[in-house]
Amino acid sequence: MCSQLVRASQAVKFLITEFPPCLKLHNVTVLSVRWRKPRWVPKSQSKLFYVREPTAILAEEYEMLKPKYDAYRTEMKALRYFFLQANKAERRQEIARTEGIDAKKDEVQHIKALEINRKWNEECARLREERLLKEREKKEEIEYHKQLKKQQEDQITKTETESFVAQSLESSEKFITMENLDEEIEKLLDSKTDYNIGFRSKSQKQ
Amino acid sequence: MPFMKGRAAIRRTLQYLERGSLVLNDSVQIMTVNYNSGHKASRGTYDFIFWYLGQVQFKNPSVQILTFKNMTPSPYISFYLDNGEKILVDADSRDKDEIFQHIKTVLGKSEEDLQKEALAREKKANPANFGHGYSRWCICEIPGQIPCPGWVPLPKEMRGKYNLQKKDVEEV
Repeated sequence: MCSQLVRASQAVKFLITEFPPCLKLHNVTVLSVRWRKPRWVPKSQSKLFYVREPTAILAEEYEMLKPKYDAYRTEMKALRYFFLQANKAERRQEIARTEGIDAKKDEVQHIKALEINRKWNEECARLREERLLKEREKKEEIEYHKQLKKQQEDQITKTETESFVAQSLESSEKFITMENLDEEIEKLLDSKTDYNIGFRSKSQKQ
Repeated sequence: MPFMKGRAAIRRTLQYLERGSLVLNDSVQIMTVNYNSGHKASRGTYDFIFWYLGQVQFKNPSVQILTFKNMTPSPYISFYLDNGEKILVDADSRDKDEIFQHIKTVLGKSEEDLQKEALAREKKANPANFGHGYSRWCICEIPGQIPCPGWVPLPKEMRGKYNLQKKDVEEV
């Protein structure tokens, strides 16, 4: 074990440099290095089921100390928070100073920019209204022409149907019904059509 | 060697992207462009996206840029700032150059700001500078220079304790 220790300390000496005197405390350089048992070695048998006795807390002592500790911790927390905020603010100012950021100037510029944008948007709105108006008018015109055309077509259809109806009525008078069936047959039998025709050059009947 | 593929492939060249002149303010986080296809009033916005969006994104890598097609009847561009504010820029029946110039006026960094930033970047890149905001804190980090007195005490001739106060430097 002694040789192991010597070997380990020699190995560590190889790794670390000599620290300057100002860093030594009471002439002892303290390092925490695992140099006897490696971390993967299991717990020793004698220490496996070791359960430590909890430290005895005296009730009176606890009651006396607790509020004091609470007060102390609250104060420390408050101090830390205060310094943190102060440092943050200082840092922000430092950054602003080094980078030339001026919050007021930025705000003024921002308001100006919003004003410019507002005017631009108004102009755009005006253009949009014009465009929409034109589109609406165009649509209405198209609709009007469509209606007109439809009306005209309806009129034509109407006249056509009327003439057809009139023709049908006229020709219905010449229809052969059950009443004048005999008469018509007699007529046909009495009439004679001659198909013996000679065509001339212009295909006219003789 | 064939030509570069795609419509107006020049938009994808480094030279073109570096020539972009719109650098948005640091407060701008998101830029949203809404436009419609086959819509005369959206033509300008479409052209703006076609020609300028690559440049804008190149110059503002930390700004999220989105485009939406055929979602609203009228085209517009909106900016979301880091304080929650939303700025709407109407783009109805506007030309691409008009839109670009307007955005530059309203939300772009001015020339002087850009120059200041360029100067600051140069200062940072200068290896002769040390301290806060630079690549090295102290000259003692450089090999060949005197080591940090926090680790190795300076020789007594260089210490004020010896030079000015004529005090003997004592070992702890």
